[in-house]
Amino acid sequence: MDNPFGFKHMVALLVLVLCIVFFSSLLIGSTRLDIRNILVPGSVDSIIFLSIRLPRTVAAILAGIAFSLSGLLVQSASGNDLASPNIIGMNSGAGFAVLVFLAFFPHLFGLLPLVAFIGGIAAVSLVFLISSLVGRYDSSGSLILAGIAVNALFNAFISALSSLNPDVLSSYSAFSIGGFSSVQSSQLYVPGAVIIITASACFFMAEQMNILKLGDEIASSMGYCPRYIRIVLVALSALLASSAVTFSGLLGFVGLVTPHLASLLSGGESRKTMVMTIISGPLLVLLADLLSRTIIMPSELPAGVFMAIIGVPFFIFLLIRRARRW
Amino acid sequence: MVEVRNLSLEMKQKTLLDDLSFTLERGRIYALLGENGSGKTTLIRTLSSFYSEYKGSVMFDGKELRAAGRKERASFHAVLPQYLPQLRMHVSDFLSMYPEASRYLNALGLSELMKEKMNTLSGGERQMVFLSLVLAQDSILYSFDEPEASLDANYRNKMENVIKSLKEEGKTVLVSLHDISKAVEIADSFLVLQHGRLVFSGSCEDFLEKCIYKSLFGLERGDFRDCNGKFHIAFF
Repeated sequence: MDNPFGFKHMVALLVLVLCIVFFSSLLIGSTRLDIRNILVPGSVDSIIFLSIRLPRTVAAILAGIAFSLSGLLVQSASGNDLASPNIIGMNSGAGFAVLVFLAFFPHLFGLLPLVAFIGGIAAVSLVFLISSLVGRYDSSGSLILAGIAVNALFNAFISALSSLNPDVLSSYSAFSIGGFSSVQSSQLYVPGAVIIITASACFFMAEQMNILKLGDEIASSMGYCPRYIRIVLVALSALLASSAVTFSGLLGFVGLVTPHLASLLSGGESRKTMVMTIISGPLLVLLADLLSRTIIMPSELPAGVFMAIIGVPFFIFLLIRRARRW
Repeated sequence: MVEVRNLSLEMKQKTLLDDLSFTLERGRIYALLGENGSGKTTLIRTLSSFYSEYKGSVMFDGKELRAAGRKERASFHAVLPQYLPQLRMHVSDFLSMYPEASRYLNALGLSELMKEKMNTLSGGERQMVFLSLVLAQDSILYSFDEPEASLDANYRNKMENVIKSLKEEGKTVLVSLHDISKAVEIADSFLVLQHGRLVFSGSCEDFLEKCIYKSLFGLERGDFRDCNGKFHIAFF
């Protein structure tokens, strides 16, 4: 393992940092909250805490878990370390479906995660289909290029919809880059439950993810069916990412950056990598959100801006490292 | 025992395996010969459920491959493929996923590889790490797809010792090879494929006496003794 602390120590350290960032996220913002006042029912601090800070912080944690785990699953399924829900079109597919649904059926708010899932899975199916027509699904070139094409298509649809029907999306740019500034607790119940249940289910797939690393020939000889494992992983990945899209928008790069970071810290075994992903994903998103609302206080930027600032150089680093390796 | 009856495989309207029937006995080494594209790798993959859309019957100790559950299939057939995935992780982390495998790596005398990273290993070293994983599977049939293609003399010896020890344990071994001299040296029986059809199935003695090497591969035989007096058969 690359890190000198060992897995358990690294987990403990990251959990500690996550706790610190979690409490900072609850207390720091354009209005500094006093813990004693928060506990007084009906006080301004209490209202800000319960209606703004707590939903926002919980949303950032849920989105961090969902996008980063989704990235890990899709990288494992495709055998491609450049894949992520954002890059292969999952987020924009889910985002487009959400906007269409909000435009035509705004009263059926509770069905949003299902609609987002259908959009996400449709987009990723299209990407895998195009990719398999022009090359293998684990060929980085064809998967990424197909993802870029599908992403562009759905982003164009999103732009068209937001231009034609401005009421649907009061802040299109904030949605497209992702953030938590207008998250309400009512938006989190259903997607939050879906994310927690799906994330728990992912641990049952760790053994299969380990087997996929061996290549399809050895996996088959061990009695597994790699094709079915991939389908399940992509479905779980779409469920996670699309649930998060419903409240966070198209938050990018966390799904790309976190699995690599987690793999580096865990040594690569899938169950350990999942644990690291579930801790470091929320940590990165919370940090991005905290930066987004403190760096130019009292104004704020969408959290997606800071995720991109962290994610883009990392993505370029991966491309360079991959090019050098081959 | 592995019994293959009328095995055929078609993909994209192309016949990859054409009505193959043969039996692999326990405690024997079978050399699988044929030119590139003759169907050697496809046959090995089909016997391991990689291709499930085959026609005909594949039985392992009387049980049909198609009807078997996951754990049963794993006990049927272990495969060391020709091309192995590149992994970015330590060997120790890799083998920790399959605990029995590290015991076999130690048995191969390669415990020092545990400290290395998978992506810095040489081709031969990586093959040995995957070999230890394959050996941990404890199956009826072990298939090796061109196992010596990227090995130096030291690792080639280790690989051959593993193949011979599997035979001594009563396992069935199927080895895909291009080197006919090597096949004659290590195998008890031969299967020769041509365009997906089985054109020869028989013992090593039959292969030599009936001059199959000449009729199928257009080769001549030359016998010689090395400087230690050991007898060899070469084909040219």
